Amino acid sequence: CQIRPLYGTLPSGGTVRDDTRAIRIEAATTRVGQELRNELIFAFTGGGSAAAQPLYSLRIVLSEHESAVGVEKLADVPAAYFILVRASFVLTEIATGTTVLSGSSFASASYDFSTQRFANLRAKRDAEDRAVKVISDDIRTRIAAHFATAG
Amino acid sequence: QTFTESFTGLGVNSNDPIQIEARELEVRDKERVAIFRGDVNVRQQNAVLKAQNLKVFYTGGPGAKGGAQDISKLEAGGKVYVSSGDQVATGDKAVFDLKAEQLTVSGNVVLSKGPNVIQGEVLEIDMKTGQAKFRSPSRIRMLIQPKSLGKEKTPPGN
Amino acid sequence: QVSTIQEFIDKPSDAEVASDMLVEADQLVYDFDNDRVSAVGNVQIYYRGFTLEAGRVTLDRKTNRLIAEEGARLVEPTGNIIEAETINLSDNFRDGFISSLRVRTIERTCFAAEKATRSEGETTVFEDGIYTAYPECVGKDGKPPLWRIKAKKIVHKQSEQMVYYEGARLEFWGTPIAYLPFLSHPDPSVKQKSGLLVPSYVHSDELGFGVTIPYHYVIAPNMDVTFAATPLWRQGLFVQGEWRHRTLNGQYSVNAAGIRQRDPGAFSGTSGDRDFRGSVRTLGEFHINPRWKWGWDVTAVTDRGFIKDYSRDNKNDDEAVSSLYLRGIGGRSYFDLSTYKFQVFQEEGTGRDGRLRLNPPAFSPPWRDLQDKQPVVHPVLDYSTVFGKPVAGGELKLGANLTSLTRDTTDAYTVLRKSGGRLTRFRGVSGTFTRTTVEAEWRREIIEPTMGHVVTPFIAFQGDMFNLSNADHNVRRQTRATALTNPAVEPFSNDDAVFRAMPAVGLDYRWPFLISSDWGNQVISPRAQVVSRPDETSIGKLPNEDAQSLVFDDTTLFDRDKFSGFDRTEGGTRANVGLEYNIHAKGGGYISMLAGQSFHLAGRNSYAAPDILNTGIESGLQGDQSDYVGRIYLDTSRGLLLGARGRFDKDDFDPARTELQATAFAGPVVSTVTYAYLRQQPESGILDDREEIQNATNLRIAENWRLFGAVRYDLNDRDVVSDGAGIAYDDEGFSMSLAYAQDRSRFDGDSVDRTIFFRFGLRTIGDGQVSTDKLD
Repeated sequence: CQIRPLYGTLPSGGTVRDDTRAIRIEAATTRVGQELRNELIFAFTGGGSAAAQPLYSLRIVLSEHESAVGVEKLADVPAAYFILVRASFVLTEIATGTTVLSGSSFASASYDFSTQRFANLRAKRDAEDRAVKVISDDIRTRIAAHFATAG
Repeated sequence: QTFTESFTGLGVNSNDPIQIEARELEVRDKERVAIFRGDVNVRQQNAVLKAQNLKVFYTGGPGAKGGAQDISKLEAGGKVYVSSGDQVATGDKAVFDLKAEQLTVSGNVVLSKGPNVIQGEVLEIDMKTGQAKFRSPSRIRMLIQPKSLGKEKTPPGN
Repeated sequence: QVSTIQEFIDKPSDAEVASDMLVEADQLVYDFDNDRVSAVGNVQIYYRGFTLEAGRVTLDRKTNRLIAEEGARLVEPTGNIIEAETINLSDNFRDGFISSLRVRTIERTCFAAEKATRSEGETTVFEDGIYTAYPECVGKDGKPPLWRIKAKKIVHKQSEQMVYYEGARLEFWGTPIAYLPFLSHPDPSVKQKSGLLVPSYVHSDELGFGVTIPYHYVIAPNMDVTFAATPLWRQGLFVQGEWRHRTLNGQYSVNAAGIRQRDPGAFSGTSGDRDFRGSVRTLGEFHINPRWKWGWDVTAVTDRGFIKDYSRDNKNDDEAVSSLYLRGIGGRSYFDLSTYKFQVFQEEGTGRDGRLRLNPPAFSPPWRDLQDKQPVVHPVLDYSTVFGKPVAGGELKLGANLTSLTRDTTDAYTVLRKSGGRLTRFRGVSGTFTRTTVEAEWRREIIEPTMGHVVTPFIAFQGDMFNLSNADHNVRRQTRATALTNPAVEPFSNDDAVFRAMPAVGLDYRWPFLISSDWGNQVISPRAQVVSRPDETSIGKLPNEDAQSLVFDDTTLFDRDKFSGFDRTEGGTRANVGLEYNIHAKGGGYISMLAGQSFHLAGRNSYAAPDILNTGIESGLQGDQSDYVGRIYLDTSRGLLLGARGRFDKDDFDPARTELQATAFAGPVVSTVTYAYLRQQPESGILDDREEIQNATNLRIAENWRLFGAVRYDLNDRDVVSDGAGIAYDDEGFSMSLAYAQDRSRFDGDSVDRTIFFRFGLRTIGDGQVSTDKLD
């Protein structure tokens, strides 16, 4: 096996970003999906412009599960909530339609229960965003590693 | 008229005149056979037989040519076409055995009557019973319109 | 005008004339004189979408009938398969009679009978027929199926889509168990049909024993109503109804339930101790266009305990959130405008339940007025967008939030001060508060090509305008005393407008290394982030409505602002460092590990300055050097999924918070374990540790049988909080489940709520499209 900087210059000249800039991500339909999509677009383009002609298409299916923890006898209410977000992704090459890379990633974040239910609502929203950032980093690293080795 | 009626008419029993046209005729009296070759066209009333060659076997005295009453067998070959009224049968070979009143067409036979079409290897028509039997090592296929099957029935109820 | 049916049949429509009948056979006999065609030798006939196979088929022109013998098999255009000894059909296949037949429908059900007649292609009458939902009509190795209905006569009316039985009896494994003089049910092909749904049985201590009989009535293809009556042995008749209506661009539903309790005493000491109890919930969602939709979810209850006492599904909800919203998603933007009202299910406390309860002087005690302490949010608006084009080579993100709410009673509680003594803190102050926030962030990720350094400079700004009116002046008096002890903290404001701004500039650096080998890739990535900002202002002066929870873990380590909402903004200069290590095996398995720490370098540490509810002062971030945080995610993609996280004390590495979730599926077992340890946070009002383990397991014990169970065990107090178990049977035509549950978490007077629930369903006869086990 060989060790080298993930974002260093590839043997073919250029860096991993030349490939990731050409990834088009499918439109999102939920808030969490939009957050993930915006994070991934930044990860793939570094804030610069995407490639004029997209070569790859990335499709992500998200699912979320919430569970209460730390429920005590006669307490009626839990101490905290876990948010588990799972993301299955498929990266396909647009020209040939073949699947370049697929996999599923997951992340979980928790928030403390407050008697103020509005605070729980906003804390859940923040936990979802945090979990999405972890998933975005994981998907980005996998795709970059793929282009770095396949290149 | 029905399928059988038309075929019986083909030089089998009636005494209507049979016209046989061909490009060549060879008679081998010893063998009691007359061979017509080249676009053979046999016509009687509204029944027609076309083939590339036709052998007519006859019995009885010498010198008789194509007389109806003493023909025993007709053998037509080379893309045979037999038609009468709205019924047409085609095949590679056709044999009319007048004694047994049996017509056998063989070699990817296609029989059509109005819109109905039957396809098979061997078609045996028994003039006596009016039964046409299709036999085939592979599958026989028939495309029919059930409505057309009925004879011109009188409409029910009157 | 059609004089006789026969004529109608004989006058073929144009389509019928055009459709030919293709016959294939080994042998064909065309009997001209008797007008009969008979095909012999695995005959196949294709006609008007029907397929007929048989050993021998005779087409008789005189009678215009078609007789198929020697193992006839007719496949109808709908896909139903009829196998019989002889089939005698009219030439257009619309009527006929069939002997010793078996009909297998595409819905995998089966009719069998000695004799059946079919007329006008509409009504099929089976004599001495059998109906079952098992496609093979028989169980394994020829034995009768698990259940079937045997009847003198079974009449199937195609246009009515109904099946009627005469002299029917229900048989289980061939032995009759119930005589059903008259029975009818919708044709199996029907998706939505009015009729009784299968009953279910429930028993619990407070309700007694009860049978739910739901009736589903279809008004129109897009409109239906379900009524369910449940006579309860102890509490009387419980009724519920659900109206559902789907329109062109959306749908809405109204769900109402109610009971006049015969024995309210069963709920003595709780809000349920009353005669009439009920709830109404309405849901709706309508699309304005592909990007915008609006909707509502409103719940009204007579008392807090109703949903928990009478509902089977949302038993463990802690509140009902009513909302009205307008939402839009498109491009890279998101918009949400919502109003909220909260209905608390938690019962009022008594303060005498033996647990250490501290009662804040001059305020309502924490266990009372739980409902009045909940705000009405009018509204909360969220908007975020990212500029399509790069700005100065980087990404510019803009966001806005407006939160405006009103609360009647202050939610105060008492905490223990580290330095001794008690302090009153406030999770919510009575009054009306509005905060308008705009935020912007510019960032650009630069890759240094030779060595692969990844550097991300960023600039951010958040501006807030707080408007406070008729705030609880007691809070100001209390907080003025505490503000004296800590210069960073101000007393709760009494002027009605406060402005706050928080600019930030920083850099995020990573240097990921790739170790690629044939079995997979490993990526090691050191990461450091430095943010420099002025100090956070007005700490303690402002309400904190949306930033109350602060969990410092691997997901917040690299958050630029670790608060969970806009009401608090992280100030001062802080560095976050960490090391991440990922392994991705080619086979799909992956491991991801992260460890790190956060350092407060300069300025005021926002997590050490307590606001009105001490957010974050025990979060692990309050010192210059934070606690350690770490995580490990493991997915073997062959049956094990594990996620574990923890925060460990910076000095003695003693765990402050550990969370673990694992799901394993191996062979017949699927099991999920959840473990959590939350150390006490006395300065935030949590006076004791909480440690809990939960397990839910599903075991398939035989081909169709499975056992399931769940337990929630409080490791700290050493007792079982809730547990339950059950057994279920599911197969092609029959499903049954029996579940028993015990819940001790409810603070409703008695120590444990026991529920037994039984439900069964015969597929296509009675199994609910509407789930019948709902009792809410």
